[in-house]
Amino acid sequence: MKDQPTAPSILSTSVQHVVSLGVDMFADELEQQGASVTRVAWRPPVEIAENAYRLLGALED
Amino acid sequence: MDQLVRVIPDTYFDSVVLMGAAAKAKARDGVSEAAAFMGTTANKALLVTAGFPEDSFTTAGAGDVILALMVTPEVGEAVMADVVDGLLGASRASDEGERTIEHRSLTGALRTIARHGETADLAVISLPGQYVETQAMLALKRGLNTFIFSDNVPLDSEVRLKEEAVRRGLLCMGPDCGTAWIGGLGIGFTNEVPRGSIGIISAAGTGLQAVACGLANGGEGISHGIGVGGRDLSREVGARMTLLALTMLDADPLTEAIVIVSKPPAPETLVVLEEALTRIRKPVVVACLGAAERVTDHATWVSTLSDAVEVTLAMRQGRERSTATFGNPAAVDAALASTVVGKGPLLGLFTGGTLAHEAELILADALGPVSYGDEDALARGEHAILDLGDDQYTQGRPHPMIDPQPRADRIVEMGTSAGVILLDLVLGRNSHPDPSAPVVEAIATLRARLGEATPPIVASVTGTPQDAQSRPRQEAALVDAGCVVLPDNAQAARFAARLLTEGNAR
Repeated sequence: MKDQPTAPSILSTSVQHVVSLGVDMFADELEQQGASVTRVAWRPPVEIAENAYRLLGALED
Repeated sequence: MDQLVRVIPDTYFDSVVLMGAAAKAKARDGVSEAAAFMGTTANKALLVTAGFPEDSFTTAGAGDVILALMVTPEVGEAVMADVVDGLLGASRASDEGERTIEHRSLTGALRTIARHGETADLAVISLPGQYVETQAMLALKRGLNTFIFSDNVPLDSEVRLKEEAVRRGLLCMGPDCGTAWIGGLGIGFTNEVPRGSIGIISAAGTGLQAVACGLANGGEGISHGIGVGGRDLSREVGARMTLLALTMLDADPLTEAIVIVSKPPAPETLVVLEEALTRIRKPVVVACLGAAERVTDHATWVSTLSDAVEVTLAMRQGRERSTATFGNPAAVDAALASTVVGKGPLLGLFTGGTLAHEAELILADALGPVSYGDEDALARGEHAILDLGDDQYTQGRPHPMIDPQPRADRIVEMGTSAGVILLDLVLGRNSHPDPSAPVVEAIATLRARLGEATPPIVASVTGTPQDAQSRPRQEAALVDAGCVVLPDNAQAARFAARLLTEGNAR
């Protein structure tokens, strides 16, 4: 993954699109306020060591 | 009682869903304890501590659900079957509903968003703490600001995340961030407050809510409310996000004044914050709970949330700040004269941590030592404040702002030993839809038990008339139940202290 350049402040642009990982109630409330929300059905890594999990994150990069 | 344990393999539910299922089971007749967890090592240790046999869930892993009940033999299997059906049924309904979840990873979600010509700029993360750094770091590297609700995120993870965020000029709100407003969008536990020109930076969720609501009820709106997490002003984190937020709000054309809400910073961090304030061009009010009040060239420092609201309102409205301890002294005197005080000490049962801390400071000043977080203090005859949102009360249970029943139970259990009871109610998105209802029910139970000897109950409601729960409606329900309701938490604490020092003893 290529790192993104420094973005303009979210305070000046307002929130464009939210990605929600985890508890659904937060995503529900954001949608009810009219926000665009994409949900990620995150699951905990099963039976892999924490180091391997970090490595996966780096590979996703 | 039987101990029943069931493992649902290869199934994931977030903690709110699982805690909701457990609370529902616990409300059933014959159930004395109910727990629903993902099978992480920490959760399994909790079950062992609660007395469940380890061999019944030893093979469960982090991707499996564990259900555990202490239940009478007659209803045990039926309750367990209902819990399993309820969870799996909800899962099926969610899968079949119109809200489809296509993405299993943040990267995949971002790819799809980009394909639609949109740009994601905020990640809301509420995952188990040990997995947060990887996901939040990925989000930051993709240019997303982050709102991290999760707690139990290691401190060194927080430092790395905030270093990365500062490098990129992105907000890293949290970990353990419950509340934020970006523009008009409320994230997490937020209230219906108007847009306006005051920017708030807060290390505390209920502190941010209390100040935003106080300003809203005083006729002012907020531009942004930036939660930074409770450890931001620690020595280790060094106010990294507070300083970035301060710079961003100073540059934000919508923001005309800034309020900072914090616990007392670490001494080294205080120096850094004071130095940063010298570079801010806009007026700043710092509500630093417990710190001495002072006015410097660059900021007005106050010691309570309500003072922060009053100083900011006065500044905006071009008037002198009121230093009155009560908004309506005549009404307070009348309430004082008509209230009979019990013999015991004060019992504060709070759902908001910052509100509990603020009350402790005010009460200690007026009454002397107040025990904080000690379950046994009341029985020893000491004034006691319990923050029921603290980690010790919320492991495996919903926060009391979501489920107020445990607080109501304590009103009944502990109220018999109290001279005065002090409460907070916090309204807004994601909070309980009618938080006064269980309190009112508990007061009725206490009154039926104690009659005339029922201790006076003093309360404040953090919220606005526009919140779904409606602040006026919640206040009216409490007044109808016999509570004395003050306009804010500081006034409620002061009134409770006056009851004990000047009130009519029974």
